[in-house]
Amino acid sequence: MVSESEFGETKEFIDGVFTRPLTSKSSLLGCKCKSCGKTYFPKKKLCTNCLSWDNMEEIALSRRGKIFTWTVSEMYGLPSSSIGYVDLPEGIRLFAKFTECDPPEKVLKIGMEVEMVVQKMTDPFGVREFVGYMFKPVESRKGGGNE
Amino acid sequence: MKKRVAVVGVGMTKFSKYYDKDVKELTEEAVWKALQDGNMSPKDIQVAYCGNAVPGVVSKQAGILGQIALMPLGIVGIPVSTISNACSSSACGFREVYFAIGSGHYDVGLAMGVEKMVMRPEDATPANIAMASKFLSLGADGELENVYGITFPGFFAMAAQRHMHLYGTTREQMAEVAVKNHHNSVRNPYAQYPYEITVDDVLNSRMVSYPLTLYDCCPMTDGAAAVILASEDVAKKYTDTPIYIAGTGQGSGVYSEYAENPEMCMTAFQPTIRAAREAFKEAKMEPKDIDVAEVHDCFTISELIHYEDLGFCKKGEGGKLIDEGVTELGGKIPVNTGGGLKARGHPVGATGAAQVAEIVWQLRGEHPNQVDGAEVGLAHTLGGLTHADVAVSVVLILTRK
Repeated sequence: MVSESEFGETKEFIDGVFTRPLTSKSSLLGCKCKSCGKTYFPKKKLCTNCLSWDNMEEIALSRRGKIFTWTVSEMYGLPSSSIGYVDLPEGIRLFAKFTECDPPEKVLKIGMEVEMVVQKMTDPFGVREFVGYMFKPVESRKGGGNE
Repeated sequence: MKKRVAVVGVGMTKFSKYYDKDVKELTEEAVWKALQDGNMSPKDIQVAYCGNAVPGVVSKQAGILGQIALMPLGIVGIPVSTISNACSSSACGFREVYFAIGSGHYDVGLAMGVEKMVMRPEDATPANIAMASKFLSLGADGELENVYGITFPGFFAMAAQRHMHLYGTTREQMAEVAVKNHHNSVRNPYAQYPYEITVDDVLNSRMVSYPLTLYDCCPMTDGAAAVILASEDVAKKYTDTPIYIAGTGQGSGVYSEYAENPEMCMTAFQPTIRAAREAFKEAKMEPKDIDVAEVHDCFTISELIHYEDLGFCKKGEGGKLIDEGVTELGGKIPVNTGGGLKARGHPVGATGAAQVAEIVWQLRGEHPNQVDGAEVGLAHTLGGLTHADVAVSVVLILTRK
């Protein structure tokens, strides 16, 4: 429901991928096999671990993870972009953009703890606008806190 | 395989930027050279596979590009299939022709590849460049990675970061790959950038994706390459120097999701490990039996990782291998003796066939950077992205015996 989103009518990068209400503190929705407990993102029907079909429960994924690897991508005619893979405690690895990390070459580190921010963004070519996620260093916020 | 299969003819265009040549012209030249090399006529070809990785925007053909590209040669009527499997497209086609002949179904077949990557200046509008870049990055997961801005240099830069983190590999070691491959290209008449560079040139060139700079990356290239295969008995009618296929293998990405060890993702590419295992098993050989190799140096770090995945050294020791000179001309396993993707150029769909051409020249003793007494050669391609892994890899082992 549109009224449940602080981002107006802008669609998520995958429909229904975030928890409601849709805010900057929303979580990604994955699924967990009710038979064997294996988690997946995005949601799917087949558990490839135990071959159960359509036996998943929806789960909200952690909003914190650790940087597996990162780089700063410079594309012709486009602003530079800090990107990388983030490992969540559920065993999910996400491809992500980083924010609040200037200069990235000094700030970002493999193994660093990062926190998810849900926000309005565009694809690299500035064509498609969507509600997606970025990660920012936890250290940049005082105390870290619990989510 | 029921029948032994040999390469009887190879040919390629010079790799370059051809504003004025389309896929037909490039294909015509490469395939005609291969036919002449094998003393053959277009009518001798019974089956053909055409590798093309980036159809549409620049190539201006899609779906049935093979049939269009082969038209000027009169290679028509026979089964023609177009294979789009990223940078391994024509290596995959080579494998299919090998199976088609090895099974006994056909006697002579063509595996070629062609790619247009460079636009005519009048076509290179910002919108077209954006569309072409977008199309290239669709070689990754559109839903999960493309929207967040993954790029091929970005992916291999992240692989470099992991390799440096886990094994202490240095930027200088990566740069040595580019220096070696540019050195090898100087005597290659087909190379796009045949000139020497230094480690400092690499380290000081423009940043593309931290820590990789411009000279860590292969270029954008137009070109075509072709290989003609025949069954052993038929091959001897055409050539006195058939080069036999000893073994082949192919693998696909396993994603982070199915990786046995997620920590090893991006520093070990599962498709290569699988393809190499399969090819060495079929050839009844080991990595130490390889005299010369073509290894997919799309980025400098890639070549170092592939040394490890192909079994030329232990995991984590790719940097040490290049430091020791093992893979340079005169070393124990010279790699990319014609300049590799880095300096020969990388017209994506044509690269697999071009690698086979280089290995065939080496095994016939015709290469401008001849490895003395080379009897067994290996060609390795890899491409596409599947979430912290690459999407496809092919390993081909050829022998002159």
